[in-house]
Amino acid sequence: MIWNWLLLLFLLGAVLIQLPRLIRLHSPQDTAVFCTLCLLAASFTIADMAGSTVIRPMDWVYGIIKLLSF
Amino acid sequence: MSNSKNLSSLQLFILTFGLMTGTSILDLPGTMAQIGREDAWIAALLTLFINLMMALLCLALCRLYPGQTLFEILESVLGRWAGKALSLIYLFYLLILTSALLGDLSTFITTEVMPETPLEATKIIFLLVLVISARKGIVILARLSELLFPWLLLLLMLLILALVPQANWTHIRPILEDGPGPALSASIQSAMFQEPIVMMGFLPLVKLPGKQARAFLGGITAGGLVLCVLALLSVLVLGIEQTSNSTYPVFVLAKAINIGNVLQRVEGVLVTIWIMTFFIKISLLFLLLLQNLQTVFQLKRTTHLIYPFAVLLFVLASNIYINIVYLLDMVQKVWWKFASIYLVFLPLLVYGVALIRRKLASSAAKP
Repeated sequence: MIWNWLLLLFLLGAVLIQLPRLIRLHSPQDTAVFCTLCLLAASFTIADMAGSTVIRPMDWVYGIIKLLSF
Repeated sequence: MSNSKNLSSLQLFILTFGLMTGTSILDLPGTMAQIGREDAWIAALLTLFINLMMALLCLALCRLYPGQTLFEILESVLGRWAGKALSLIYLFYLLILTSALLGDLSTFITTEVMPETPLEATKIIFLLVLVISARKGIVILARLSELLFPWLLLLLMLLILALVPQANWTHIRPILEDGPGPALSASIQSAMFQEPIVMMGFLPLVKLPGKQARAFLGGITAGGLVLCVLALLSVLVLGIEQTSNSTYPVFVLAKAINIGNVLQRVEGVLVTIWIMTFFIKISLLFLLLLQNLQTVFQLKRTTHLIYPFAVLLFVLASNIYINIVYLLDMVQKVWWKFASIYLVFLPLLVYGVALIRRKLASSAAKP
């Protein structure tokens, strides 16, 4: 659990440092991709903290292969 | 010091060698022995052959679109939007693969080397190294690999030569007792754990096509031969049962080294080799992830993406390695099929479409 808090803190630090730089870069794509990736990382971390089983990549892979086997 | 963004053919060779041996030398001999039994070494040779075929396919694609990376080729062949969509499908695969490798490292270190250290601590330390490597870029990674390579070779030679006296040749007999089927099956599964397609992101950095192909194929052959020798030694020294029942047979093998009660317990040598090659492989994958997003979204720079990616990899790695039974079950039943889509079927499809487009374009150009 403590590791996930550390990760969230690290992510917050990254956003605080990188976002002003990205604004100065004047590139909407760069900012959008960075924000999306940060949101994705934060939501995965929170889901992990909550003990969610949805974020198991091997289960996704299993689902895809099962789908393709039909 | 040159500030060139290009790679030399030697650097490409070393990076390819690192890609082929990273993680594989520790994990694959066990898988090969489980399926191929006494013929694990034949399976390793067939794996090398399959990898060479995949590499030739990559080179053929690169020849059709010189100077372009994998994701640029996808857009050139399939068109802008379909190419971008396929690139994002590749992003999904690369993300899972990279996090699986990170989980593999931390599980190995925690179970075999430092049992008191939490999994997360190992992962964070390695992620830190990965972040630094990704910030520095491919050229610095290639130079570092050049520095590590002689040590890597020296340690590999030490490991192999120290094991030769313990080889028992009766362990690999009978050869092909159940026909070529098990060896072939083991080789197909094992080949899907080595990903020559990753180098398509970096092949254009070597400017001379002839040297590029030689270095790429040479790296794959050298890495495949090392794997073959280690698979052979695992069976020769440990016997088939111990090799197939171990998660990391080469690590057990390194523990078995004993020369005159003087040179013993040199598993640290193996851990060093593994971490060096693993570092090269995971760094290449991380750089390819960044390259993917840069190509798809036409980004001006990628350094800012390293940090959220690092967090994402950490969380995904924790959710891939839930326990070793779950993982081994998934890897043996599902992963090789999943990987074959990205390593064989999609490149073949793209190559086929590229050839058809070429033919259509040339017939349209004729009066």
